[in-house]
Amino acid sequence: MRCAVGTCSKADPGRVLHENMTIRPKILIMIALPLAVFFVSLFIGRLVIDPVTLIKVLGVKLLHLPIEKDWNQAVEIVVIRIRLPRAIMAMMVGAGLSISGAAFQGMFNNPLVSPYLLGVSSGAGFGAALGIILGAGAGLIQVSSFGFGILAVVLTYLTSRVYKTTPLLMLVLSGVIVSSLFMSLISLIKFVADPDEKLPTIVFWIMGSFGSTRLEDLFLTFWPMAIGVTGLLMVRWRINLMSMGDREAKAMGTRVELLKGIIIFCTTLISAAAVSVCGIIGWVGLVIPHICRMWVGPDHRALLPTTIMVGASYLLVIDNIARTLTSSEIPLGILTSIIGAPFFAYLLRRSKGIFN
Amino acid sequence: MKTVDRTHTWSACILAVFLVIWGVSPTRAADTSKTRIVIDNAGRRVEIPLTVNRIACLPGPSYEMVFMLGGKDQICQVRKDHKRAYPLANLTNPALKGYSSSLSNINPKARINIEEFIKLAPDVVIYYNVPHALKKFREARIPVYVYQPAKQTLDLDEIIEDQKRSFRSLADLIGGTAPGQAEKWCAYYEEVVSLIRSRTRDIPDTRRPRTYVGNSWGTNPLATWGDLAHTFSIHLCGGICVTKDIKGPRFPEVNLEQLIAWNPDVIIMDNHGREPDTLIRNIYEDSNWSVMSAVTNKRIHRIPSGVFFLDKGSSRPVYLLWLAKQLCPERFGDINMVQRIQYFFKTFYHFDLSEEDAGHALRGWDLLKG
Amino acid sequence: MNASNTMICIENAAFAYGRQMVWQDLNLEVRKGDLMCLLGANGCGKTTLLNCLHGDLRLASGQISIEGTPIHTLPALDIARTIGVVFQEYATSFPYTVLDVVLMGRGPHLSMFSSPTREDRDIALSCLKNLGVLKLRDKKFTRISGGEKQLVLIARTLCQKPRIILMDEPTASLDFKNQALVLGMIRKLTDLGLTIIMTSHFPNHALLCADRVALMNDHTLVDSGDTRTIMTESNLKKTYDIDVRILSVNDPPNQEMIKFCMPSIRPDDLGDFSKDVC
Repeated sequence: MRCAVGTCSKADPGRVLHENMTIRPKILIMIALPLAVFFVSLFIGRLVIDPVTLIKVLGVKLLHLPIEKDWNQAVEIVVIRIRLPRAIMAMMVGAGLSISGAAFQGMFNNPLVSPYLLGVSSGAGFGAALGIILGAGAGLIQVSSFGFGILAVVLTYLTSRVYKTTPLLMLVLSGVIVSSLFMSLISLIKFVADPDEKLPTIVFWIMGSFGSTRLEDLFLTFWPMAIGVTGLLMVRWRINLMSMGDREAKAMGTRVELLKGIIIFCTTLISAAAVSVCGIIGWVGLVIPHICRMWVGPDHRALLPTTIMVGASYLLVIDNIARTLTSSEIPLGILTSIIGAPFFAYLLRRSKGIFN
Repeated sequence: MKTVDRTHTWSACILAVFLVIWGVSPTRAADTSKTRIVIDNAGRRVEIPLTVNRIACLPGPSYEMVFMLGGKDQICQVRKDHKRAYPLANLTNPALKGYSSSLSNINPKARINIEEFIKLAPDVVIYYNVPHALKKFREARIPVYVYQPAKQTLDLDEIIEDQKRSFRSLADLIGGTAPGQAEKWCAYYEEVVSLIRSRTRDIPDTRRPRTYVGNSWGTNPLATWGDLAHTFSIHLCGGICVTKDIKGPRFPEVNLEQLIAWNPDVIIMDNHGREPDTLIRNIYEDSNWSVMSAVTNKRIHRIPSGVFFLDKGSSRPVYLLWLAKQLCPERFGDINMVQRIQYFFKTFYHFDLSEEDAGHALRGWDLLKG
Repeated sequence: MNASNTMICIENAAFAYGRQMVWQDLNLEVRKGDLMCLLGANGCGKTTLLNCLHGDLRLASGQISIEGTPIHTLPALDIARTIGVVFQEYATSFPYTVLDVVLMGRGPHLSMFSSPTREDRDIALSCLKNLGVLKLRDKKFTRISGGEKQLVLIARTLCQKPRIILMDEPTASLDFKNQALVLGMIRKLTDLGLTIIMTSHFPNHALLCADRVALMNDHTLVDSGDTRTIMTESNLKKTYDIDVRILSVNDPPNQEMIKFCMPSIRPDDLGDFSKDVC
């Protein structure tokens, strides 16, 4: 072992990117982009707030500056307790789904793979639908959703296990099986749900929203996300080897089964946490890794940190649109595909295909 | 060549089977001389037997409407929630528990099992406007009365006209004393509306309390209503609905920031969920909501309980009185809601509601106790 | 023969996919510094044997020892540090740069959770330099020529610092010039003291550069040993089931006789075409 676990992977993104001097401006953009989007997000919303007041509120609340309070309590609540947590949540989910997508695409050596491949979204959707139909509270729905999301992936993993190995094809097929099982369970719940009341709630939940994000929720979501993202960042170079296929990765000294286990564990933690707070948000985990690959290349050492930054910025922009465009919330799932799909098509055509 | 022959043979067999089934399928052709026509909610002409003895009530308010019109003994099927979700329904009609609900509690978009309906042999089915189901009923020759509140409405009067039309045509369908009951109800409805209107007409928009209606079904009070019925009712009762411009799904979600920007003076929480009281308590305890004047002034109100939801079906006049009293207490101080609700139950449900139960209903009738 | 000089020893080995036997009674010894060429017809199990040699597949019976230790007792990581493999296909959809591809060879020397350091990068660069493809370092692997790809993959294997290299048809789908270039490079690798086993479809490649040859047919080894003694017309006929001529010519630059072989084509023996064809 060259260095202690974690230490060199932390020092790494800089080092790897330094190799090529032309990448340096990219690092700057990568750091500036999410910060800028985050800052701007705090200034926009349905309640019109004077920018100077807003900066004062931020100064007092975040930096504890001694400024005399001359604003309405509503401004403080909107900025600190509504916009801020929601922006952070959107960034966490965007970053998490994107890095999970990139890790899965690498592991399965297939750029068409999404983080929901192994059934986490349908499991989590079922968990939420079950909670909704049983009349559970918001917290319980979230826990049930998270739990069933994990359960679905565990089922997929166990189904695909053959002689102590989990061939990728088996994983994909088991994922399809488990997904469709939970999807039909969701349909069953929708079928028995009260058509006037419960059904729209389930449908709306599944389409996704950050509408009810609270400051306190952030910590619940933060831990699984942080563990998952850290794990993926630590193995990100190994994903390069993994993308050469099991046999080659093994020949180059990779403990393939352990690595698969780590990647699946981390992506599942992330995507189950994401789905449980904001429903099934499609496209992000598929498109962002592609866009990042066009930008910094396929090397997962650079790609994974980039997806975090770009994914966080992207979903935050989308969520800003969702919460400000009309007086009612636009479900995120709809926006990510309405905006994501044509944008992706444009990029694909402009780059004339990413590969070769 | 041989396969072609075989195919022909098979087709012939299948055709023969169909013809036989066609020939023996139960028909009501013999009854045609003893039928009459009613026009349903969707404007369809429905051919029904001269006397209707078996009515299947499936859409939400249909049981309450038929019950109010005096047709409770003609009901042969209700929806599961009709039997268990509304304590006042059981109180006013003890026989309700014994009604069959074997075919119900289904998603109207789901496929219906037509054989079950044939077995049930209703004289008429009150059903949602779902084309694939209507087609099946037509093929099985079961008359369907479509219950469908008008979707595109321009103003309150249009909604009221539509509701009166519904009750009159449904009364036609039930027959007997029902048409008289319907007329009595229409008159009462008009009387209530004009009473309220006379007291709220002159309030300028700027002085009307800004009102938000929360849908209590889910756990999220930020889900509201996308239809215009609430907007019109609130306007009639002297308020102004903050979500009036939302044109979206049935239950659009707004965000808390938007609600703070609207800063409603009154929040009406509907009675649909299991625990609207918990929802209201949570709102009072949530510091994020504390900046709204509805919260600081303790003006979050739960819609009272009815035989069906009070704001739907025939109990709408009572709901409107209650709403007007909540929105403009100073203008409706003389209205005694206990007496009003007792009067309505006596006149239209033929039920003596005790003062205690009336109060109970006004407080939303804790569903868990019921 | 000195026992400590034996790098790979295969004893009574048999392999089967399920109930389908691939080969059996296979005995072979590879000494340190040997360049051994494995010849045999399509589907005779050459690649399978290579995959058994780096522990990816397990024998049905018999034993493979690497430097005296049975391979199934070796941890996978030790195998990866001892044996490098040049696979026939580059199977990823991602267009990594040449340097990224070569760096992957550092896999056995890094922990699961670490990335290559500057030192690893220098090793990768020197491997590229040794194979004369340093200038390709920032090119996309998918955009370089077949010969260059093969050299880069060999560089990646060198980067692993193995003592044994297995190559699966390193000259497949290369043009005439690149075949010579790659074979020359492989020959040079033995100067580093590496033991190399490669498979090939061209007996000439064995004659051109291999010290030792193993011939496979009929589910076992036909024969194995020094190239000069093993590559006979009769052995090749046993291997490929066709008549082969071996010729010798003088090769002035190397000042020695070189041998090469040609199959003899006899269309008459192949039967008549059906008249429908034309």
